[in-house]
Amino acid sequence: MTFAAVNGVQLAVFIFLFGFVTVLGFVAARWRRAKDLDSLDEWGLGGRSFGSWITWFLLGGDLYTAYTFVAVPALLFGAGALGFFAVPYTIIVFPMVFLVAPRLWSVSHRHGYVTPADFIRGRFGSGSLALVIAITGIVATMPYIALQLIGIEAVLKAMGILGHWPIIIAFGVLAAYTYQSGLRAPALIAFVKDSLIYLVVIVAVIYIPTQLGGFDDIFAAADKKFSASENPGDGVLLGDAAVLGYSTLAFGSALALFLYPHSVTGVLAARSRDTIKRNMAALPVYSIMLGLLALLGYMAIAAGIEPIVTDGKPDPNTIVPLLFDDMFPAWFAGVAFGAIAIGALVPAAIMSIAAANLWTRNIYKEYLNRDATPAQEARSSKLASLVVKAGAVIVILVLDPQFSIDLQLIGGVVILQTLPAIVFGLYTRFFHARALLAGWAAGLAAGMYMLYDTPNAITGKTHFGGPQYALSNFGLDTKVAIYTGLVALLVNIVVCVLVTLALRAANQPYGDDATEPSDYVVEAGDPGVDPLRDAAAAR
Amino acid sequence: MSDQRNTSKRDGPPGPRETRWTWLLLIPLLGTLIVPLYNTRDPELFGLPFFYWYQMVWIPVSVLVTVVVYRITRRR
Repeated sequence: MTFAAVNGVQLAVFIFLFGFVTVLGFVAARWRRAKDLDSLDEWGLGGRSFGSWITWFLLGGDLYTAYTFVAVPALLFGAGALGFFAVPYTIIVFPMVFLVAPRLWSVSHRHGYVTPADFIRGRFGSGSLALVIAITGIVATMPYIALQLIGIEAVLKAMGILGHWPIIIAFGVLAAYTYQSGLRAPALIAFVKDSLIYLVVIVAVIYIPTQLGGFDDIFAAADKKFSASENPGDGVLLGDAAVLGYSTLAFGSALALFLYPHSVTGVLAARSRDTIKRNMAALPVYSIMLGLLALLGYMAIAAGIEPIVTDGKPDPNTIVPLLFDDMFPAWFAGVAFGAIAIGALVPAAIMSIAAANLWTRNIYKEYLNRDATPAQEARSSKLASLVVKAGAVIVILVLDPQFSIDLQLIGGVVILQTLPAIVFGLYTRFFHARALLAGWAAGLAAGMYMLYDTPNAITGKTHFGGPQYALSNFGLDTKVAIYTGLVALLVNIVVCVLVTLALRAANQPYGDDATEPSDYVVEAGDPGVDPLRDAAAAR
Repeated sequence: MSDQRNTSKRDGPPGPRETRWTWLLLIPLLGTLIVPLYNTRDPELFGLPFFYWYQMVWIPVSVLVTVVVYRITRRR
């Protein structure tokens, strides 16, 4: 570790902001205080009481992660237009979720479900399907948490702080206040995170272009870089072969986003169905910020930024922090770095809570302690959240960061395989639980095979080279590629339908459905919708 | 939405007339997923190629569409 190039002012501002949110994280335990935090409804879902504003900040902080802020510009920096897929992705996700999430909210509040796997357990009466959904969620979430650490690390590198100990401290602090305050901590910190990020982005996209001669010059510089590179796939516009890959990646990523357990946690913490619908209309505001941030990748090109090289490998994730360091006075660069680091803490906290809830509800309570009291559940989740974060730190310390990025890529394909059970399950009981299991397995196997079978000519990797599967593998005479997850999902759905029809023909009985059609449309205040209040009234 | 019943007027789910409006939600998908529509450099806006500002314009349009559907399908 070295401090040679560390700027004192920058570091001081950074540490001040980090300290401030740490205090907030602990104080959050008393914010909108409940009698106690000894239940998952309180610790894991913030009392299921968040209104429109809190939900907006919470979901915004949850979905638009620090890693996104660092990695999307890095993608544009490296490959050009393809990286901009994050914008259509985050535009279309909300109209789609507008239809689905309110149904999940209603049925979950009616039956006290905390996780998506809880819903599967009730809807299909199948413990094994619920277990598979829970494990899939945990596996897909873990590398996502590790990526947040990469976001923090990129900032630290740009500040000149090398070595792993600051990450360990940051996550130790995060683990402590998440343990104490549960979902209230990231909800409260999200206000600070987003205010800072909005401030930094607005300043950056107004100030930096004026320093670089405007967008004309910025795009000219990007053009020059891409036409000089040997990679045929880059450029400020998409090549013909990349068009389908671009739209399928945006569409597939949008389908996957709300299947992630941490998104579901954010949705279920909302006070009402109406709160969610309003938020689906308001959340795209974050996409404006994301689109502007993405362009920082081109600004970095125009500013002549070169990524920091560690262990002989350039780290493109460092370009945004380096650009800030280059362009801003030290104190404001410190604010920007603080914003990114805090931006990593919020989603990391929510993700670890979501993974911990899956563990508690669908593994611990289901298989280890069937009669767990709410207090025992909360305790189990708190401990699990520590384990999850420790795991993420170890992954970053021990494994090549590239491995986490690969894992996250795989994670998107993996989580997408839970779509038939969760999304179709919200609308219909047509599918048989065993068919959904078979479809999940087939989709997963197909997805893994295709990812393994994808080389990357630019990085020289022979396997797991990217999320785009060449259609030439199916015998088509074309250079066009398509998002792997979407192909795997198609396989999954076809198997679900065929196996369901076969099981129906064989008169195989369905599991019990604990839900009723009306459960999917109830609103807060309707009878039986508020398990917390009903429980309190019964005491 | 096959299983929506009409219960009382005040807190029943939206009826078929309202749910028809939810088809509007397809508009943002059509606008952004048909890439050949906008994969061009011109017309530029403030030096931004069409590809970039066109997609950014869809953010407020998508918000507008979702707000319209939300208002129409909201329970009264």
